Amino acid sequence: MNRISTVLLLAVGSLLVLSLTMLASATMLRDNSTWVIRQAVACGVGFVVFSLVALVDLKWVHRFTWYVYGGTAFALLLTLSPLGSRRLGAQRWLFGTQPSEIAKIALVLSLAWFAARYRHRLTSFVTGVLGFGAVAGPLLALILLEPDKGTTVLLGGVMLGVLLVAGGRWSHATFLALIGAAGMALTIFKSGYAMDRINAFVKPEANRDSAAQLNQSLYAFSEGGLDGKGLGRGSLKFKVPEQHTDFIFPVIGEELGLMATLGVVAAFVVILLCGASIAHRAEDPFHVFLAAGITFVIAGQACFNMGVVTGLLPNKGIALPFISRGGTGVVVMMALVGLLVNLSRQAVSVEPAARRGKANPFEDADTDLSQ
Amino acid sequence: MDTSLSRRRMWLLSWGFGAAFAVIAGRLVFIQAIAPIEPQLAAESTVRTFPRPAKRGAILDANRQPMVLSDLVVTVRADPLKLGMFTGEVAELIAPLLSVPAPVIAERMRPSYYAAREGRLVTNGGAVSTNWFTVQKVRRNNGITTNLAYSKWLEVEERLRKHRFSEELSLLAARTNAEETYRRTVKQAGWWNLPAYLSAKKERSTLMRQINPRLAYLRTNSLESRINGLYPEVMEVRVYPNSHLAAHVLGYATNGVVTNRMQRHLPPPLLGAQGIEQRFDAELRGSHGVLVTHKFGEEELVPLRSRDVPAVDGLNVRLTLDLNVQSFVERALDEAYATLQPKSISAIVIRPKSGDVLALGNRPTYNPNLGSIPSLEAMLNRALKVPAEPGSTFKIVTYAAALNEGLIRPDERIDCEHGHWNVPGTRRRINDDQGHSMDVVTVQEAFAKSSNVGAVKVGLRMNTNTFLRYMRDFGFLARTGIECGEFTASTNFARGQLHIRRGYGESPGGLGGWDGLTPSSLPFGYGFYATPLQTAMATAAIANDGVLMRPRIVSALERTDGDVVTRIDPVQVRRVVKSEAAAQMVAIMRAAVEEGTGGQAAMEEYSVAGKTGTAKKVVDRKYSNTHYYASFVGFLPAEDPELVIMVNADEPTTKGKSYYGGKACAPVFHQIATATASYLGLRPSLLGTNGVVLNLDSTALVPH
Repeated sequence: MNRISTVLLLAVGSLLVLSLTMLASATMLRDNSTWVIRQAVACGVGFVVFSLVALVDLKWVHRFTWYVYGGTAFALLLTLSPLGSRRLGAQRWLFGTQPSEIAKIALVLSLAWFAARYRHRLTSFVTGVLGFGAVAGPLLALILLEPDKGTTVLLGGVMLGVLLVAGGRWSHATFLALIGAAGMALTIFKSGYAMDRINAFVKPEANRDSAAQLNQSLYAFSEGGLDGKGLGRGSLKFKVPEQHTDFIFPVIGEELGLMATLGVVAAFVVILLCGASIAHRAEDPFHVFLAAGITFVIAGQACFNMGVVTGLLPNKGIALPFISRGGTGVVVMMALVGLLVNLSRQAVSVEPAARRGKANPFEDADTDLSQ
Repeated sequence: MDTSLSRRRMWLLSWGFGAAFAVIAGRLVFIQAIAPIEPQLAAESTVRTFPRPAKRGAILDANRQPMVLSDLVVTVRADPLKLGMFTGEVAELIAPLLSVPAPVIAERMRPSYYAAREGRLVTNGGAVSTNWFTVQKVRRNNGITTNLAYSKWLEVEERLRKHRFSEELSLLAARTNAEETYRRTVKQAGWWNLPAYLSAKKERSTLMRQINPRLAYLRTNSLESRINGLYPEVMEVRVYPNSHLAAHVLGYATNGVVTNRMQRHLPPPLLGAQGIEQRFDAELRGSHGVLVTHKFGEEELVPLRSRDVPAVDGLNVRLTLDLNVQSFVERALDEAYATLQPKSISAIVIRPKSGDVLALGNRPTYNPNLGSIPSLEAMLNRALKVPAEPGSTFKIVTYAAALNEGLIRPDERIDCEHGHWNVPGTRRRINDDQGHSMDVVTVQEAFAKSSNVGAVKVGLRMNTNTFLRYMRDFGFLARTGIECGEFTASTNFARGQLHIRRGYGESPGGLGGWDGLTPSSLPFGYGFYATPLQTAMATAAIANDGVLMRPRIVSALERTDGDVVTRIDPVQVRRVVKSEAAAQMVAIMRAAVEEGTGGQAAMEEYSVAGKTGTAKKVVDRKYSNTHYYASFVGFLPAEDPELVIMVNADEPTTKGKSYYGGKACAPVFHQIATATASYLGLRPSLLGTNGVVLNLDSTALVPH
């Protein structure tokens, strides 16, 4: 285990511990602890997945990319079929899992695969715009149909990020962004409730019901102050629905205070820096782009959620990575971290030897990166 | 591959994210540390509070039979202005629960109005003032039903909350319909047929946009007002199932005033007045609970985030009183009150070994069920609260003290001076009643025949301080410590003055405090005041081998399920006289019943020890020859006393000389003792251990 992985896992581990603690606190008024137990089980499953992904040879990951992609797309299709189940006005669940979460893995894998394979032609419109669009488009469209606009926007942003890192043109990225924005605007104007939320953001006083969630969230942060009301003593959990998923961050702010919220932000910054370093140290293009994609997914989702609950972004339901309740979410996030750790193992094992210029007795066994 | 470009861009974007995180961190610092958010901005979420009333505890007798119970009843009231057009539907809904026909309910809920003073229009839902803007609530004539059990009201409330009113129902049906149409269309076209799928979806969302807002409105504002259109007026009724039985011990409870409008669902507080209700008011009173739920928009957040504090009912107070013994006492008192026609009469039954009060009654009495405040005369617990000069029953203390000091022997002879004696060195002349003037007799006989001269002579053998110490040791001049509200005349001999404060409704008069005559007055029960309970407890001390007990009337505080919270054990106050002195005292008290003035107290199966008392009352600053305070205190079986019974009558009729303690009160004693002893199954003491009848007079008894 190298230093970057250690720091990364420390940050992730702390967030997971905080996650279960806050979930217990936010659901403490229920008469049993089913949710906490379920989430703990999900964490356990996540750890198994993490271990497998972190130990497997990346060669196999590269080879299985399109199987993962196909499987995810199929799952998303099934979700939209009558097999999927609706909750809170959106068809996002398939047999108790959220395929749109799994799509995050599929997307970063496929984009990294595509960008690594065609990296020399990415500056062309056909490969850079149409090719990238063809890879990401089906997944994004299926997720948008659920509808799950938050995840769509997040993954669209990740796509642009990977495109840029892979050497795509800024103009192409801007073009794609504009198309995405236009499409998103159209869907939002057509659907009433998303419009309500936008309105709540723009004109809070005119949309009291929609703005209430955000106001409660801001009030909770404010009530928490520097050192918080104390674990379990917050009142936000009485007032706002989804307090254990999308709105867990204000619960942390209310109960544990500014120190904890800044700590969470710091943990994500650490994860961001670790991810960037791993991407920096990777030699293989697939590895570089994969590390970048994963980093963008985690950091982007964290930014998005914290931006929403602090009133910086419109109210769009998206979970806070590692912390919000949701089994699929935590397993997927652990898998992504597993990939990062795997990438860092591959990268760092060559570095000390190369830098020191010394012969490593195990060099031959470890530096075979020819794939 | 241009890895340096990738790395550069990677770091560029990472710094972008870093900047975003910095902005978020800045925002957090701003909200949490610098600029607090005003609470009113966050006030959208609605808190709903449902009070949960607690019941006042019950009062139980020694066998857990209820003596006082509480019940919550509800008067259902309606506000027709809020119910509006839903009156009929609400009436149909609640009719089966209230078991009142729906048309009757609907009629009672129909809006009506009349013109009140100053030209105001008063409706049965609210008073509409002339300027139409201020609407005052009046509660007038709009009770739908009264005395509904509280649990029933909860059902009504639940049903109202869950009921989907017709309009809501049709909207829900429309919604289901739209959903089904959509599903059918999609199924027919196949979900892969994108145009058909999208158009069906669009159609559905158009419908939903019409239905949902209306439904939301109905569920929040409208439903809210309809639910509030029906409201309870909760009352707690205090039930005394045995009517006036032990009314003075139990006391009564009155309804307080509701000061807080938020407490509408809570009964007005019951305030204990008199007796146990007053003394244990805090323990009997429960603590109300509350159910707080939150509403967010149209979503009711009950199941997940409710704060539910259950009501805790008040503690049950378990008395030492026995309902059956109490009923014997009440019956005896009723009869005596009718025949003797006294101003008042009281009786106390005590177990001497524990100090438990088994029964306690007074006449006149009152019925606590009536809820009105009884008259002072009826309310007064005379056995505990009205001190009077006890008279001859106090000779028990005088003789016991002298026996304990070894100053007399029971068979010692004493000159009773034919009933007239000038106390040496004073102007005091002691007179015996004509009935028992005696010459030189034994101490036992002097006691049994209740010679005043004898008692004073015995009393004066002790110095005054010793005598006062015995008085105090026997529990006089101090509270007995019964937990039922007692009053004792406060007496201050130390300053050389005897202060008697006025008691309730009684004018002590006459008594001039401590003077040269006091030492010769005390030995036969004059010159100070004692309550019947004090006399009874002093007698119980003799019956209990010379140990004074604290009278115990409450044995435990229990929860509703019978769990004992506090147990109150019998308390020995002190040993007053030696065991031998107590035994000698029992013997001469037996003589008082068997050969002396208390003959009418004697029983066939039990040996009774006792003492009569006939005190002259002070009328017009003189001791009267027509107003008497008659009493009898005794216990049985004398060999192993189980019951001490004290009966006293204030001013019994003088007809047929029945004002004597031995004539007025001893028969009452006999009546109570007979019933109680057979109820308790006391072992007949006049039978030997082998069942042989020892007392030859009681021929009625057959060995078995």
